[in-house]
Formats: sequence, structure tokens, C-alpha cells
Amino acid sequence: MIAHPFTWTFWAAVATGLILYGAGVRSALAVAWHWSPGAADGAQLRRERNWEMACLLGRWALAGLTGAALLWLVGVVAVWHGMVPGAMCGTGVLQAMGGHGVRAMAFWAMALLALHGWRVLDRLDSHHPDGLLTPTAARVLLLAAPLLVPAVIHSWLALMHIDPAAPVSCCAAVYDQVLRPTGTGAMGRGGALAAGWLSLAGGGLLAVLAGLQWRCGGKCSGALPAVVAAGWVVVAAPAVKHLWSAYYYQVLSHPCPWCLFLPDHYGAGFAVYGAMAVTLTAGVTLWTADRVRRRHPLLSDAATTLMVRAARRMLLALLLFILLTAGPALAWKLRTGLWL
Amino acid sequence: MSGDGGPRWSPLAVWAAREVQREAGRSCLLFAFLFLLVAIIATPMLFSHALAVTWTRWMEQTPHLVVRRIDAGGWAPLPAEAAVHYARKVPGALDPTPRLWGVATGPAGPVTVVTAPADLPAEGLPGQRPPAPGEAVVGRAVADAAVDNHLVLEQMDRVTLAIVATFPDNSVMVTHDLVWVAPPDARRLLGMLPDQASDLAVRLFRSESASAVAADLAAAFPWPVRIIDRDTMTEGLRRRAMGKGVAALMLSLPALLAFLWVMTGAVTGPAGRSAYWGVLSAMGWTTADLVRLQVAKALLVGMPALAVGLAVACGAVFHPMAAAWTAFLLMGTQQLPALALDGSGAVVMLLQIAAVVGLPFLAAVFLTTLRGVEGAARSTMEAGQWH
Amino acid sequence: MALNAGLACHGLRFGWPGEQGDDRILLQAVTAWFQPGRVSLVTGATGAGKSTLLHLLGGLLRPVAGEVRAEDQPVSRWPARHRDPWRRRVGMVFQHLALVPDLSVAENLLLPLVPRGMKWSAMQAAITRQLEAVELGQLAAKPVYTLSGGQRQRLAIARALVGAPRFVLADEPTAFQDDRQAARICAQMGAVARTGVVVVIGSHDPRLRNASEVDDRWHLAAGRLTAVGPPQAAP
Repeated sequence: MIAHPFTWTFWAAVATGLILYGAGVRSALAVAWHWSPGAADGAQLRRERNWEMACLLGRWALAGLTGAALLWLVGVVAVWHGMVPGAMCGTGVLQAMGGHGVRAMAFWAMALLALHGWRVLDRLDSHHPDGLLTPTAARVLLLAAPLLVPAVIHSWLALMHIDPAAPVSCCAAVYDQVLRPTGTGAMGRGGALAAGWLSLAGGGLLAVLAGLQWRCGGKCSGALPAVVAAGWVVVAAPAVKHLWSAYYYQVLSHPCPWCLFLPDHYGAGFAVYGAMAVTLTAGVTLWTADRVRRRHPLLSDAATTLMVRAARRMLLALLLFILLTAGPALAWKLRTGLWL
Repeated sequence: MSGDGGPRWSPLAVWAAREVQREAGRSCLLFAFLFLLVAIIATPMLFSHALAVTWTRWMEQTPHLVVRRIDAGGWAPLPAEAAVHYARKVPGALDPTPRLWGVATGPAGPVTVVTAPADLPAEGLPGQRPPAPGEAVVGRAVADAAVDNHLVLEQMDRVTLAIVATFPDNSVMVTHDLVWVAPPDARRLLGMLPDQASDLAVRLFRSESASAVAADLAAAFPWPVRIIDRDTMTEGLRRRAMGKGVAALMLSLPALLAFLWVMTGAVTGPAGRSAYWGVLSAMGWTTADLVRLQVAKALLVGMPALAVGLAVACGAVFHPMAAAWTAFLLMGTQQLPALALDGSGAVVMLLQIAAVVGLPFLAAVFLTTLRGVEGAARSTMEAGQWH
Repeated sequence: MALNAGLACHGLRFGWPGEQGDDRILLQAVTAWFQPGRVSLVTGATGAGKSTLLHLLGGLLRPVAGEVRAEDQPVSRWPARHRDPWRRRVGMVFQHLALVPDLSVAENLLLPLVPRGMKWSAMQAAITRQLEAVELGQLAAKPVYTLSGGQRQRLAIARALVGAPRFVLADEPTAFQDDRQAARICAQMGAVARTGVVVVIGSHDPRLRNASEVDDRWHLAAGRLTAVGPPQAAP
């Protein structure tokens, strides 16, 4: 365990978020399986009041847990590396955490995406008093639990796995990828270029789809941009790591996604990966709202409004991403006449 | 009809301010409690951060690598010219510089004797002229133990020195037991020949290459050496500094957080408010509106409390008088370092306090409000509440 | 008059939980239609359930059977997070007034307006208008605990009307008033109703029973509500 006050800060945020989420789950349990809209018996009245409480608790839990996840990210990229011998960025910290660090981040991302999906359903559900989506929303809220539990467990194991006396070789972990072109994290020059072009082309296509969605007032399908967004994130992440980050580092062969978060590089990683996260969550919103719109005509207007907003958000995030990735590359080309 | 439609924040914030004024006693109690809590939690955190930053800055002025010759008896003097010659053969090792220093016995215990300004941090020597033979510049602890401004040191020989200056207070963390003397006095005191040095300081082109260069250096010398690298020492110091903060936090945090929940529940909780919230509910305030109102009230009290608490913590760490006591409580010594904090450290501090105190506080406000709102509407209809 | 307008209840049944776990039935199968633009008076003996009926109509209580429809929306079936904001369209005068005694007269009137997203100027105008309507304009800054019983009751009426509600539910609104004020309150209710608002008054005050401003009269006894005079059909 790293003896750093930030570790305790992270756990305080996790505990707060979990308490709120746990209280929300407790209120949502009966709603998920015994919801009987229209009934006026005492049990249903209690369930309705419980659901109102669960929604408020869920929103606050989402905020608390997002804060905890962000603290984890800040800890990995900007704070804990100072306590791990040999670590200069998140790569070294994750190396010291064993495999638990990466797994924790993956589970945190999935849990927050599930909670985001719940929030979309909750917002749509709040537009009609019949509570058309209430049981579904309650189940999605519960669904986040199996993702949150491993996220917390792996976070704990990851922090416990760090041995402040055992040095890591931060750069070696990065350069090994370059020296071993067949390694799992390897991506040759061609692969990096392909990922870069795909990330730009996919981003452009996604921007067009989001723009169309915005322009047609949310009437277009939400599934297509959602699927493209999911695929685009898969391509854009390695493109940032292997290609675009080089223009920040201004050196070749340093495929490290975490150095991008360091103050030396203006913390650009927060904005670049943040834009990707916003695109992904906007995709989840589009997909969820589109399905709700098809199944519940009464919620069509609310879903359409939500889709327009999500499309706008996605478009802005993509513009930011393109600006922060292709922008420095173009600036480098203009300054030196060469691509890296 | 949307359950999401909230009120404008400005009337709600104004009403929250009015409620804070209505409940002046409770608000003052909450303010006092919160600012004390922030001060108690922030002080060790701030102290450990500042200590880590300060130590790191001191260490940045030290050489990347220090080579010491060892033999069966432990440390042994280096032949200075030969050591420089061997070190220069190692690629990446720059400016090998022999240093003359050692430990001698002073009037109040062991002191560190140094001879060259390069061995001292720049902050410790503002305009100080080097001591002539028979003179010494000493740290605070050594000066306090001296008699008639004279210092007697013993090791291989006995040397009497006149104290011509003391190191400034802001360098006390590294200079409190330091004695800066002329090289001939040091050689006599430590029993070293003119061509001998205590160790060899080496600068590197890139600090990341420390481990590789250290291995090459060890192989380059014809005698056994022990090489200390700056980054390892810095990490050790940083860990030690952070350990102080964590230890204080671990001791206090669980009790403080439990107290925070209880106090917040008691002060902002539904006692006596159920009927009032019921009236608001009857007039169209939603549960979310009531939560917003309570959160706005909590922020109106909590934000100034946070600011005052942080100011108190800053005073406790950076004000010389208070800082001596803080250092004594946390480090067991009043040998006060002049602490510093960088921008990112300040941001991290704020994040920590926001997460450790702010989040549980707001969560406690939120949960107690929810608990109070439940059944509030019914209490509106109970006439007994109003007579 | 559109049949889906106003406030209607169908087969409304309500009982308070008894000590032995059995419900003490207060209202059973109450069906009525309170039309917009008319003042409806519900009379009945003390304990007949007038206040409970008004609380059911205002969404403060949920019926155990039947439903309340407001402008053809089944508001009594709505969960709390929809019913609470709907209540902004209801002006309720409580029998026990439910004023906040340490707040000023104007601040009590501000309470229903704060969550509505109104501008300050609009709120101030509405408060001034209502205080003048109930002859309390000079007392705006006074704390409520300094007012007499009658003044407090008029303040409660002003608070119910300050948000320009679509439904006014007044429980014994003239109980503490002298004859002049009682007549003025009747006239005020009549004037409010003429703007298309549903006004339901629960009272056993004989001055109201005989008031010309009252259009429809209902009597509540043994848990049943019956129309007095020309019967009103529910939509």
C-alpha cells in the first residue's frame, strides 16, 4: 500500500459513493421486481417513495463514484508515481500494481457506463408520471453492483500490491514494446499510421453522424452513431498512444499513454481521453434513448431532446479530440516540414 | 411533467442564505466544527506535502551520484586525483568532484564538517564568505552549544575554531548540525592527507541513467566503492514525509469522519424541521428541491469553513511560530524546516480536502435531508405541529 | 364546459391506519366533479372527513382506492416526484394555517414561489398584489407571530393564491374572521373562481353556506359526498 494521503482521499470518496449507491440499491430492490403502477396500496406507495429516493441517491452516487474514479486516475497519473521508485508516470504505477490496476480501471469504466445508462433511463422516466421505465431503470441501477464490486476489490488489491521498496522500470516497460514488435502491446509503424488515419476518419464519420442527428432534430437512428462511437474508441486509444502522443513528446518510439497526463505535456491526456469518454457516454445516451423512443411513444419527445443534446455533446467532444491530436501534428509538420 | 425541472439557483441560494441566518446558532456550530475538522485534517496533509516538496528541492541541489570508497572497516578516504581519473572514463558521468567532509565530535554531540560551498545548499549561503583557517560558519544547533563564540571539535585531532557566522534559519533542516571550515582545518580534524577526499560527487547528463552509470562507475574503480544515487534518496525522503501525513490521517480520519456524520446529522438533520419541510412539500417543493436547499445551505456554511480551515492549516505549517509546534507534534522535533509548496501540490491538497471532508459532509447532508423529507408531507397535516 | 376540465374524484376511498392494523375508513366511494370557474363548498360535521378530502384532492394523501383527476390527469396515481411539482398548481389553505411563525409575512408568501424559477421582480409583484388583496400590505415586514388569528388566516389565503394556482382548496378559510372579513373572503374566492380556477372550500361556517358566491354545495356524511341542490355529474 502506498503511504500517501491521496490514497486515503481516494478511499474516502469510494466509501462515500458506495454508501450512497448502497442506500439507493436498497431502495430500488423492491421496485425492480414488485413495481405495480396504478396500485394505491401501502406497499406500492412505499415503493414509489423508495424509487424517488433511489433516483436521488443514484444521482449522488454517480457523482461520488465518478469523483472517486477521477481521483484514482489523478492518483495513477500525477500523484502516486512520486512514491514508486523508478516510476515517472502512470505506466510505472500500473506496473507496480500488477495486473490489478488495469483491471480496476476497466471495471470502474464499465460500472460508470452502466450508471450513466441508468441515468439516461432515469431522466427519460422522469418525463412521464406513469413510470414506464421505472422497473427497467431499477434493474439497470442494480446491474452496476456486479461491476462496482470488482472495481473496488481490484483497486484495493492494486494499491496493496505496490511495494515502495521494489523499483519498477517505467521507461523499460514502454521501450520493450518498441523493441519487441511481436509483443502484445506492440504496434508497428504501419499499424500506428493506420490507427491514426482510422481515428481521424472514424472521428470524421462520427462527427458527420452526430451533426446529422443534431440537424434532423434527433429523428435519425441513434444506434449507428453509438456503434461507431464504440468502435472508434477502440481505434482512437491506440492511435493516441502510438501516433498522436509523439507530437506532444516530440520524440519517436515513446508509446506511453500516461506521460500525456503529466504537467510537462500540459495534462493533455485529461482532455484527449476525456473527449473520448464523452463521445462514448454520448453514444450510450444515443443508443438508450433511441431504444426507449422506439418502445415507448409517450417518451418519444423527451428521448429525441436527449438525443439531440447527446449528438451536440458528441460533436463538440470529437472536435476537441481532433484539435488536440491532429492539431499538434499539423503544427509540427508546418514547423519542421516533416511528420514524426 | 418533469421531475427534473429544478428551480433557478439564485432565489434558492438567497433563501438558503436566509435559512442560515434563521438558524444562526446551528450554522455557527456547524461552521466551527467544519473549520476545525478541515484544519485538523489539512494540517498533517499540508505539512507532509510541504516537507516532501522542500526535501525534493534540497535534494535537487545535491549531486546525482556520490561515490564512497569502502574497505573492511567501512568508509575509507579516496585518492582524489585517481578517483577523478577513473570516473572520467565512464560515459555519462560528468564533473567528478572530490569532496572533503566528515563527522567530528562537538560540544553537544556529533557535527558534520564540510569544506566547500558545493557541499552546501545555495539557500544556506547568501553572500557568505568562506571561513579562513581557524574560523567556522555553523548551524543553529552548533551555535547554541558554543561557548564564547568558540567551538572545539575533536576527531583525529583537536581543533578550536572561532564562529564567524551562522547559517540562516530557513536552511536549518540541513544546516543545524553543520560546521563549515577551511580545508586545512578539516584535514587536520579528520586526519586526511592533502591528496585525499571523503568521496566523489558526480553529475549526470540525465538523471534517469543513474542506475546504469552507477554500475559502470562501480566497475571503473580498482577498489570497492559504495554509490548513492540522488533519486533513491529523494524517494526515501518523500516517502518519509508522506508517511507522517498518512500516520496522522490514519489516526484521526475514522474518528473524525464518524464525528462528521453524527454532527452533520444532528445539526442539519430533520429534528424540528419535519413540519416545515412538509409545508414546503405541500406548496410544490419536490424532494430534489429540498435537497438542493439543504445542499446550498451546507455550501454556504461549508465553503467559508473550508477556506478558514485551510488558512489555519497554512498558518500551522508555514508561520514560523505555529510551524514549530506542528513540526514538534508531527516529527517530534522543533528543528523547523522552512517549508514550501508548489502549485500542483496545492491543487492536490485541495482535491484531498474536498474528497476527505467535502464529499462525506455533502453526503451526510443529503442523506439526513432524505430521511427528514420522508413523511414530511404528512406532518403538515398534523395540527399539533402548529400549535 | 369541457368535461375533462376541473378537479374530479371517482370512487375515492380513504382510511387512516387503525391501531390494530385495520384501516379506519373515513371516505368511501366519493365521486364528485369540481368545475373550474365555480366555487364549491363542502360541508359536514366535525370529523366527517372534509380536511382529508381536501388533502386527497391536493395530492397530499393518496387514496387507497379510486382516483383524483385534475384536468383529466390521474394525479393521485402519480408517484411523488410528479405529484410534488404538480402541487405548484394547487393553492392550499390549511385549517391549522401551517405558517412559519418566525418568518415575516412577505417571506411566508415567498415560500411557494422559490422553487418555480420565477424572476425576483415577478415574485415581488405577486406578493405585493396578494398582500393588498387580503389587507395586509402594511404588515409585510412583520413576523407572523405578531399577527392576530384573523390576520394569520388571511395570510394563509394569500399564500395559497400567490402562485396563481389552477386549483384552490381552502379548509375553514373564515373560521377566525369577523363578518366583514368573511364576506370579503367569499368575494375574493368568487373572483378567483371567475378566472377559471377550481375553488373548493371545506367549511361548516353558516356564513359561507349562505353566501351568494358559492355555486355548488356538497355535504359529506358517513364517508359519502352528496350534492346539495342541483346534482353535479362527474365527467
